[in-house]
Amino acid sequence: MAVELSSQLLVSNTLSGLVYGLMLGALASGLTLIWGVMKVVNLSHGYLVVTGMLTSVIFYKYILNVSPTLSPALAFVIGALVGIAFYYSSLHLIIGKAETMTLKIEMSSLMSTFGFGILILGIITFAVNRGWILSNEGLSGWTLSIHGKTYLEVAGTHLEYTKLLGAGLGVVLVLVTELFLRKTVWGLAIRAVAEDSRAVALTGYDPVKVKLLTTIISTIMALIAGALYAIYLSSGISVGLESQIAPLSFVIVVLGGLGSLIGTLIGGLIIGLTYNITLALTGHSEISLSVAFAILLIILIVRPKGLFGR
Amino acid sequence: MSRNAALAAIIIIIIIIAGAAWALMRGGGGGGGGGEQVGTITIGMSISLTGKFQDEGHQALCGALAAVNWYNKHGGITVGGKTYKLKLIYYDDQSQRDRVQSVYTKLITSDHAQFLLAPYSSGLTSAAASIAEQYKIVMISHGGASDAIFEKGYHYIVQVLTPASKYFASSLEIVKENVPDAKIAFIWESSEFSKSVIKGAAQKAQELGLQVVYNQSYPKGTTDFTPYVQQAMQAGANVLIGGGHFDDGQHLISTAKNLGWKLKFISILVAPAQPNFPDAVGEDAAIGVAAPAQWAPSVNYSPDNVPSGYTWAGPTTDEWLSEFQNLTKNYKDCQGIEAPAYQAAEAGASIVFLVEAIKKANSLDSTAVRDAMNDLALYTFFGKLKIDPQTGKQVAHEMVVIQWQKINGELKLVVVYPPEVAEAQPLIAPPNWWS
Repeated sequence: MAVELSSQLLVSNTLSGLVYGLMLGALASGLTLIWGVMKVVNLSHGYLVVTGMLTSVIFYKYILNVSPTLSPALAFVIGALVGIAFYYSSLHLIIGKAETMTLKIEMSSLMSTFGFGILILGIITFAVNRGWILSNEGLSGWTLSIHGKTYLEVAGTHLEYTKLLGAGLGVVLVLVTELFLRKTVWGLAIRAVAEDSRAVALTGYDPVKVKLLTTIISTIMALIAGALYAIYLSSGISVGLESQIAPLSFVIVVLGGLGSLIGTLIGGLIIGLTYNITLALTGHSEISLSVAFAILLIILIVRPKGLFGR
Repeated sequence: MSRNAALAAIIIIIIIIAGAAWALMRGGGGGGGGGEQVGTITIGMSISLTGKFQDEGHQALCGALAAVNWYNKHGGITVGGKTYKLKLIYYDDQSQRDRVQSVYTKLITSDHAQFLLAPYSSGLTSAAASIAEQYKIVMISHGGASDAIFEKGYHYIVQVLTPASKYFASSLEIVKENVPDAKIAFIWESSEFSKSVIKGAAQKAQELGLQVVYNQSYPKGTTDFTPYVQQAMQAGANVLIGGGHFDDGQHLISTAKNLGWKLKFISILVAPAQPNFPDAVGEDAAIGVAAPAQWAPSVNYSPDNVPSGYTWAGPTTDEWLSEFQNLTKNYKDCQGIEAPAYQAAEAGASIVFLVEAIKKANSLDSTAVRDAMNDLALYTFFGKLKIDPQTGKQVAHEMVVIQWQKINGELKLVVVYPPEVAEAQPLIAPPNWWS
């Protein structure tokens, strides 16, 4: 039984789709950087995001009782450490000395990043089996309330504060990174490596350092986005979420255009809005997902490099 | 390089073969006792001791063994003037469909199992059913709730647990009795199981004259329930029924609570039945959330409250629990289980149902025992048991409803339905959902 279509429903679903879409975009942003700049198809992206989510939960529930609103700062620090480990364990030997990315190197990085993801999965499973964390973690009902309410009322629509905060900070994360890439010399170097690794070396920048930095930034972005997603959901964190985050992130990155941070936000918005609006119009969740992917196909036919791809 | 690779491949293959051989050898085992002077009734079972159903599988195995041991300690059973002891033979199916069929063929042809217990889960039961039917041997389903298994025209497969289509019947009875202005929202996972559960619930709601204002499925893996909750709120719903698995269930509850949905009754599948549910959604959202369950350890079905038309059979709850605990202390495949879950009770009940049918038939012939089952109306530690003679589907067993409540300052999962075995009244319009 489909609910009768009302303008109220359309407004509600558009607003919630907007918030959902921005969150999805932020979740995918770390992937577009490492994929777009270094041609590394990072199959551990989903696990990195889950690591960020668990960072938020573990520091809130088990260590120091840190408020989840501060967890992005923790995710920054841990993300940097994980990023260094990620680069030297899985990427350095493959891409460190490479001047141009050949197909062979891309395939090797596919394998090694997959391996790194399995390593993270192994560590989390170990912690669960040891009883250090639960298999289904959550923020134990941590929520944001303002004036005793946990939701904002806009145009007759209720929107959770936790979701607004998660998605809002996600947008900030993407914009700050974009500014860094555009306005700093290291940002310039990162973008230059994407074009020509040898030319960068001639200007005095060590391409290895630039690649390391890119890996660290993209890992930090994945972990921070994860910490924000934990706030967004405010419940229910399991390793299983990886299998939902990773495929959606790949779709959004392709839709937005490889390497474009703004593109991922727009890509996320398209998926989130299409899904929710179709749900409002048809009342069928099954169709909604198909429509979102049909739009992806159409955009890729018209613009094979994605919306903002170069 | 390539020689090394070949060597590595050979080593890996050897390891895999050795592992498989070890698993096969480990799989065989026997429970119960058999005497020389008395006869033995052999019951065969394929059960998941490894793989994704290993937790449920161990529960089911030990629940069945507890009932077997109880009967053997109480003198076994007498058929045609001769005394028999029960013997349960089982093998690990690794939670895999293709293993199940070969295990049952082996049980029937080389172990000469006279009766069968089904494996755990609807999927595996469905794979096993065709083998039992082919050999015309009674098979009791204790972990296969799907209605579809019993709509294929099988005769030898019978069910002791409540079928999927009746999962929410008890929850809707609570709504009917306690929420006069109920407007129900069904929000459910798009899976085969949830679909048949909600189909049955919609039918039951109609029978009870309850109003359903919103009925929507969501895809597997959904994490953001905002649009569904908003639509249901705008439709004016004040009762939430649905869910699917753990993750989606807790997201649904968390979003419903945070969006300020005023609910009078909430009953969803699976998630609230897990002990760590309040950890995930928080105490404030957990209180008042209910779930249907096949059984709970605190449910008190006893010889003192037998409903009319039924006769008590098998161990009491305490007797069965004590046998179960013996096994968890002393029997290798049961060690490590902390407490019995409903999967154990279901399997225990299926032994009771089988034994009582053998007694009634006074025969070990599978067809005679199957016919005798049609006339059984038992009251056991697991509740009422009675099958539909045509399909073998369970028709009497009722789901209990369990609900998170705060009793004397302690957050507990209590049985609230059916009234004769309830620990507490159902909590309607929980204050934390209305603040």
